[in-house]
Amino acid sequence: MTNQYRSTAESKKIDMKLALQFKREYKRVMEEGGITAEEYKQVCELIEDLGKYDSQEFGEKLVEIFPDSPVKELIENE
Amino acid sequence: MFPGTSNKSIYKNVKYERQAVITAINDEMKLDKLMETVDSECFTDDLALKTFKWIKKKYNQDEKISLLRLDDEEEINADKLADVGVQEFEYDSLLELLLKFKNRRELFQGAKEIVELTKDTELSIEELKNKAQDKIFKLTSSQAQSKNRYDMEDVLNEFFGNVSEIQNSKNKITGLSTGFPSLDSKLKGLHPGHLFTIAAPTHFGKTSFMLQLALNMIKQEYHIAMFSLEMDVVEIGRKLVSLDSKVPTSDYLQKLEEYQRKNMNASLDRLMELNFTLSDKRNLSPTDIRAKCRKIARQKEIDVVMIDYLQNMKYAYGENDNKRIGNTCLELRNLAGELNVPIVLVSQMSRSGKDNPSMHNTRGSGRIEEISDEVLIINRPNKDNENMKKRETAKIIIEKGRTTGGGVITMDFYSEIQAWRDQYDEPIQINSRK
Repeated sequence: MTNQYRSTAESKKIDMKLALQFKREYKRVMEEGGITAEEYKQVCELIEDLGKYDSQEFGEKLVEIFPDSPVKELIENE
Repeated sequence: MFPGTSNKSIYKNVKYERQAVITAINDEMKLDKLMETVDSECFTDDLALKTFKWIKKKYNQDEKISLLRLDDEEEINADKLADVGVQEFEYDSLLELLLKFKNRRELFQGAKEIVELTKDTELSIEELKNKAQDKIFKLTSSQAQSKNRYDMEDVLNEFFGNVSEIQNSKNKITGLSTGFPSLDSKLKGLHPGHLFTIAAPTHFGKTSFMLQLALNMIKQEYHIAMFSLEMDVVEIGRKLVSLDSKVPTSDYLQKLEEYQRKNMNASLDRLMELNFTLSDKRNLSPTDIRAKCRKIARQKEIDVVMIDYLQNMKYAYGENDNKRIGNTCLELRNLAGELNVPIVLVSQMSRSGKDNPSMHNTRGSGRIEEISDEVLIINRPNKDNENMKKRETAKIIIEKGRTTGGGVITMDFYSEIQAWRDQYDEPIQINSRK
């Protein structure tokens, strides 16, 4: 396996682990009543498509789900 | 060499099993590949197997497949799957490797079972050989054909596929053409996996009917493997040349006329090019025939197997003759399924049925009829009619047609050259001595 292939495989591995972590955190928040089941579902769909977006687009999509989130300010400040 | 082909992992590799499923989860193209290439028996690891079954369920229901959904819906450790990473560039080789592991495991298990069989002192050596060969054959043929288990979706797809094939080919044959239009019209040809029995009393033309069928089929470029347990290679050759050249076999014994010789030479040239394999070894058992078919098929794929005739075979095991005949037919039918070809079996009937032949006149007839998919009986009510010495009208009774029902066909029999012709075909001009 060349280094290029290895790095692609490694980055996919990291993406998958990150996506799992993200999803589990949101699930915990939903179980604690912090977000609704519908919001959780939308977040999951967004995370499933993580690879499609750059960080800016991902933030904007997140704000669409959670309009009152502090993420909105972070994006605006960037 | 793909990693994993070393001696360390010749039966399984957990990492590759997990990689196969996690890669498919991340890539739709590879998902299709996974679904069409492997089955659940390719997985030995619980995590990979559970994931494969989940993927298959979702795939069949056309639902979205992702690692997050798997993590949500199944009680599995998705991190362990993520840890192995995806295999993007050698996915086909990875799946092939899983299939190889599965085949090796099956062969290993089969070998263990054969070793256990050898410890059974109740079995005779012949039975032991039969059972061992059976096991190996089932293993190798299932590995070659791979698909012999179906879920309900597969069953319905196969059924609808078959119905639409029939609908699209009304009045067309769906099996292998026999070269007899009337018979094809009734039976829709000879179907792979079927046992097709031709029965008649002695001297009613069973062998000649089979040889005519063989000649019709080899001319359509089908490869026939014929087992003649009565006639030797010279007799079969003489009959085939006579059928094709239309020169009566009785004329061979005298000096042939020039035009007869020319016809025979032309016939030899034609027949030489055709696909035909003959065994004239006598006293063969179904196991012997199976072994010979496998050997022939390794050289060239077989389209039809023909056996002349049942009562000359070395029967399979059974407590009495009826059971032995039944078990022999059953083994031959199984062989037809395993080889996925039609088997044409000639069977003798007792002479008591010569005026009105039916399967009831045959020893072990009940089982022969029950096991065969199609049963044809040759009836020659004009056999002794002096006015029909050269061209005789005969009946072919379809006693059983598993999917097409019964019926009766009229055919012409030319006793001088032992030829059979469909009533719709042009009459034969015999090249006899002038």
